[in-house]
Amino acid sequence: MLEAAHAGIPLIVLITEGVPTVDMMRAVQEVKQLDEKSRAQGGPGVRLIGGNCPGLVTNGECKVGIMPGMLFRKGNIGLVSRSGTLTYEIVYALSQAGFGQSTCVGIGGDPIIGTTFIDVLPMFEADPQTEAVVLVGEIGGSDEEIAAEYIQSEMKKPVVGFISGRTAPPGKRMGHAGAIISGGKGSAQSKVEALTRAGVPIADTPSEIPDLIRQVLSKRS
Amino acid sequence: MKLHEYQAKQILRDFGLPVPQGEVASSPEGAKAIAERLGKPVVVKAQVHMGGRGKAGGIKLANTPDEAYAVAKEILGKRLISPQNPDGLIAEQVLVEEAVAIEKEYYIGITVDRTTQHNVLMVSLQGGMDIEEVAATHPEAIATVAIDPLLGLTDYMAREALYGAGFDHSLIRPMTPILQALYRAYVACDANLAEINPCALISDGRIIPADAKITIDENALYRQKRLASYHEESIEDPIEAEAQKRGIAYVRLGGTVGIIGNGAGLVMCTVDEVARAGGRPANFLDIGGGAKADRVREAVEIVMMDPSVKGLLFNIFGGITRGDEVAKGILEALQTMEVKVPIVVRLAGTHAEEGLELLKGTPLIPASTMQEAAQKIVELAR
Repeated sequence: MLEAAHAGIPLIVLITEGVPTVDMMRAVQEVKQLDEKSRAQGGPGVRLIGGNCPGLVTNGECKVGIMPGMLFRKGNIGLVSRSGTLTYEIVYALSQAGFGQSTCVGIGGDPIIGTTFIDVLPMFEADPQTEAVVLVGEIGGSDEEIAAEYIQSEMKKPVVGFISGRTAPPGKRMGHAGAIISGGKGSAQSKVEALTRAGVPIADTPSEIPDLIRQVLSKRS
Repeated sequence: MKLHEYQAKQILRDFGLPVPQGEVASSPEGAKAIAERLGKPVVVKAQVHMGGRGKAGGIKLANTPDEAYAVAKEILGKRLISPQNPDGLIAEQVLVEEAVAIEKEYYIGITVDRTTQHNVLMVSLQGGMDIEEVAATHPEAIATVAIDPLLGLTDYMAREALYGAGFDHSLIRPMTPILQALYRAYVACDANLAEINPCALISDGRIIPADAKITIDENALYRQKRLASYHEESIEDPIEAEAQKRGIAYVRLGGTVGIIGNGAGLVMCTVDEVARAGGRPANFLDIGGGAKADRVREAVEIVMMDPSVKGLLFNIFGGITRGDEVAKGILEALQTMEVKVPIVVRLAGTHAEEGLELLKGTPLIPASTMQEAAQKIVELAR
């Protein structure tokens, strides 16, 4: 990964699961420095997506990673998610309901990742092919709360959300290294509340997402 | 992975911190022998993973070896209940340690801050209390400094934290090496939490770790051979321990509906869905990406170890996992073991149709969506 970053590869997708947190911390820091250096010299920068992520798909243009391509339809819904298979589930539901996707990004389930929600959301806001965004979060950390603040203050495009792990007990790591409620932080409830306050409708189950998308798009037009 | 106090203290001792003398015992006789060797008053401390040990009666003072025998007998095997652990835990070991006269209690800790993507050092003059409570009620009493992973914990960062928390000038010099040793220990053992609470100023003027808590990043256990041997011991639930041994992500949830899926987010979501359908999830089990048939069979074995499971739900959305491999695994499991509970299978994604074809003519109940699958299994597991 660092070899790719030093070689000037502008986009690195790290699918690998189980990287020690300390190593990711160093790697993310290093990539950040390389990114700044590259940009200062007029280069494209360096972006790391993941680890522990399925990669990304821009329909009709490219796929980097391991997402099953047959689920996707070209369209104007952007999707950003901390989970892999849950992304497939939601993309499938969207495609079935006739909502194609512009770009889908899996940012990964680890506690320290290269690209977070608030890195991806501005890109969707600026992307002419994206009309609405689906944000898929889960328990652990406070990235969803931070994203909620960003959506409220900076975004004009509608966002709908889903949070998994509503019934997860505190103190237990639910598979993903990052999916743990610890020290009273990172509960699904806190995330749902923050997003709801920011005007983001939250689906109770993935199959409700297409309906929410329909609602926010019709409100807009 | 949470370490016991005695394990955490051994690590701190290895990194040069002045940990009180002590050893661990699993019987009253053992506790007495340690107290005799130490030849002074001791504290006997239950080795359980819970907050509020003292209030629960898990920490007792003993002036003589005979007293150490008596209090160890009282603590060992007793169910300790605290507000943090209402179900209680049973101590199988006690730490017998020289008693110290504490004059002041401080808090020092290092943990991963996901937001800044750095390790952070936290210090406070309000030691001995639950730091989360301090953070909630007196956030200004905790000073926090982000540690640059490339620089480590420098003298000036330590000073910034200590002065920031209001430590007296005379404490800066003795506290700085303690903070730095804690950071070295934290990094060397791949911890994601290392706390000394209280970090105690004792009557002879020394500053010592009176209690210690270390949690290890499980992703790094492969390179922490010494700590890996602590791992099984750290898991209280026998099924979780067995799953751990086989490298399967399993969490017991206490209900009746067994759940197996691929991908942590999808499995978490399936657990939520079963609860929404009115069922009580028995477990979380993620077979991971690209699982082969034998892994699926093992997953069934693990879930069925729980006698309260009354129904089993598979929810697979294949990306690199193939539906036909999963179906083969389920059938293999049914051939090698007797599974009496109903099984609902939802397969979607890569090779799902081939998988469903394999399941035709078997007692397995297919479902086409996650919602339908959850409703079916909840009905059947009643």
